[in-house]
Amino acid sequence: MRDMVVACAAGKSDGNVVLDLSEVEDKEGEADLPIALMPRTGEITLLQMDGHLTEEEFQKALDLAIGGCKKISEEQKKAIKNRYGD
Amino acid sequence: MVHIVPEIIKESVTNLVKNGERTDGRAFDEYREISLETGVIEKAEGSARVKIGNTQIMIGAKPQIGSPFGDTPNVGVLMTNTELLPMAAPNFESGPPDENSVELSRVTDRCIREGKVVDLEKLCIVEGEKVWMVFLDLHVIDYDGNLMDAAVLGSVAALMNIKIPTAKIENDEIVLDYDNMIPFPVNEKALMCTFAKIGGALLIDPSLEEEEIMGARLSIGMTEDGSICAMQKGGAEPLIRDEILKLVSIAKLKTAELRTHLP
Repeated sequence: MRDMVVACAAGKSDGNVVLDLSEVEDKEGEADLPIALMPRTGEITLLQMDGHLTEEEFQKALDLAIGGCKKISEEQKKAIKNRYGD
Repeated sequence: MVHIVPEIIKESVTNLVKNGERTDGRAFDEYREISLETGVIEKAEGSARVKIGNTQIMIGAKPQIGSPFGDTPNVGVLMTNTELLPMAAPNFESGPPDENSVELSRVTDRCIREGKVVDLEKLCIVEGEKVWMVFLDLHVIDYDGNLMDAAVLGSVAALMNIKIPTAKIENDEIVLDYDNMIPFPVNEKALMCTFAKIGGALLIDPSLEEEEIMGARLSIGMTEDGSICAMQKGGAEPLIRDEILKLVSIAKLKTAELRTHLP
């Protein structure tokens, strides 16, 4: 097994670049950027975007989503260790 | 779609790329020759024929009066459909759309919709009752790679080519005045730029040969102000953050270059 892939979305809502869009933010927001990440290597295996982002906003959203993926990866590892560890 | 590519082609194309070359002699950031004609189908309200290299797509845009969706009563409707015709490639088959056809329709639709190419609110005739619906039909007649960029370029051109009759309400009925044709409300020219990753290098406008062996693909849709309106990654291999950011900045220049082909 090479890695445990995780996914997370960032986007834009009410003019702000935000992580983990809620239902309302997703529907009413200006952009949505879901990605999937291989946490060990930092490689992006899935990427889609729709909406409207400038180059700067996109970079910010991409970095937020990568950060979100890493956080989820830690939680995922914790959950697996709690269940199956020791 | 079945991919049958001898390993030997993969090796030769990849080795060329590693030496900074492509099989057709292009630079990594160079499109093939592009040609775009509009109004090529007499009976269609809007049409375009686009060629990128040997890739060729015929696009028809058909406006019709219909009912709006319940949740958007004052907004027109845009629908995109793709036919990958069997004559376009040995591995295209007739029958229901396969995943490639669906992806092409969806990514084209997303770029046009999210890029706000059509002012859909101007397509409302009677709120909640009647709106203009526009059907974009993409017919791929020759496939030599990079359908997405050709599809979006041709679709925007076909939409710009549409003329619709003025719609008036007389005695609660819609009367279409064909003596007063008006241009379709196109207020943005969002276009798409596609890259392939081969042997660690990033190439614009992949040919069929390059697409068949590429590890990853990234399509970026951009509006005239250089903002991103759509993105789609394809292929099994990953991309890293800096590659994606680099491609976004190249796409900014290249979509502007593509835009010069529009009338």
